[in-house]
Amino acid sequence: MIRELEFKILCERHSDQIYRYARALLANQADAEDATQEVLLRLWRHLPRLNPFNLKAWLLRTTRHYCLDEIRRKSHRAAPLPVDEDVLEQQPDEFAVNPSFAADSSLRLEQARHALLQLPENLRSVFVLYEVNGLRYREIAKTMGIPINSVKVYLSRARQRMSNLVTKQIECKKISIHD
Amino acid sequence: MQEDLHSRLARELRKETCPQRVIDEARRKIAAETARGDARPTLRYVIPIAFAGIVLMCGLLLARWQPAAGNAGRQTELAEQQTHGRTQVPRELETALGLIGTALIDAGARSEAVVSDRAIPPLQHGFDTARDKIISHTQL
Repeated sequence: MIRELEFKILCERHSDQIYRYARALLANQADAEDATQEVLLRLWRHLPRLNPFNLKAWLLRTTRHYCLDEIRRKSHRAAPLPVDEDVLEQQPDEFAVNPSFAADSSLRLEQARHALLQLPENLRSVFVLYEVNGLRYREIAKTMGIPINSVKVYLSRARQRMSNLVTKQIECKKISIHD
Repeated sequence: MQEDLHSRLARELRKETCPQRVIDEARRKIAAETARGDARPTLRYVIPIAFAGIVLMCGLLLARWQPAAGNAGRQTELAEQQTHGRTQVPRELETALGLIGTALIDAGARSEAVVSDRAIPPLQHGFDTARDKIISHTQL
């Protein structure tokens, strides 16, 4: 009974973070839902043995491992991988269809979201865990099993690379609009 | 500008929430799993108990087999000793009897020599004396 209650509270507290992280890693809503469900099941199974002080790190680490396994398993299926500069040109550009979107700020947001999915997994994880889930450097380091300095470096790189990707996308659109 | 974009993206992503159906589905699976676990409590114990039983039986068999093997070795040794004894005893008996026979023969030979050397000459001398006396008495 206590276990059920504890599980319910933990679900309410952490399910959104798990889902967002899975969504960012898998880039697919259905897969993210499956991942969240699986992580919650694992939480239930491991609940009696889990250290409550490391719970968030454990949940996000489990999410990461599950998502990476899924990406490896479905590597043929639109797996978000580290990309070269040229890959952006190869991506289908649904926003270029309507040039009026270029003026819209939501377009930039979509471009940023798209750019986030183009980042390598480690940079994307750090960005999502820090900016979206609000974890501290120490927590991210524990979740990902890397030093705190690496977290800082990854975050800086993630921001820089996202900016470059967004700029690149805007330039591509400008060219396509002029053409 | 870019900083603002990152913040906006983060805000936008933070709006995404886990659908309630995901949590409900997870709870449903957990309930099913728990019910399955409760329905078959015996099976949870049968496998370890069976395994422990097999291990125990193997241990007992091993423990029994080792003394049996030791006994067999000892019995073989004894049998060999007995066989060896059975062949050795007649041989030793034969030797002993041979020695006794030799001793008896030797004793007989010695007795004969003693009798012929020591007893016969006085007897012969006595007979001769007695004969001479009888002859002389008869002549008188």
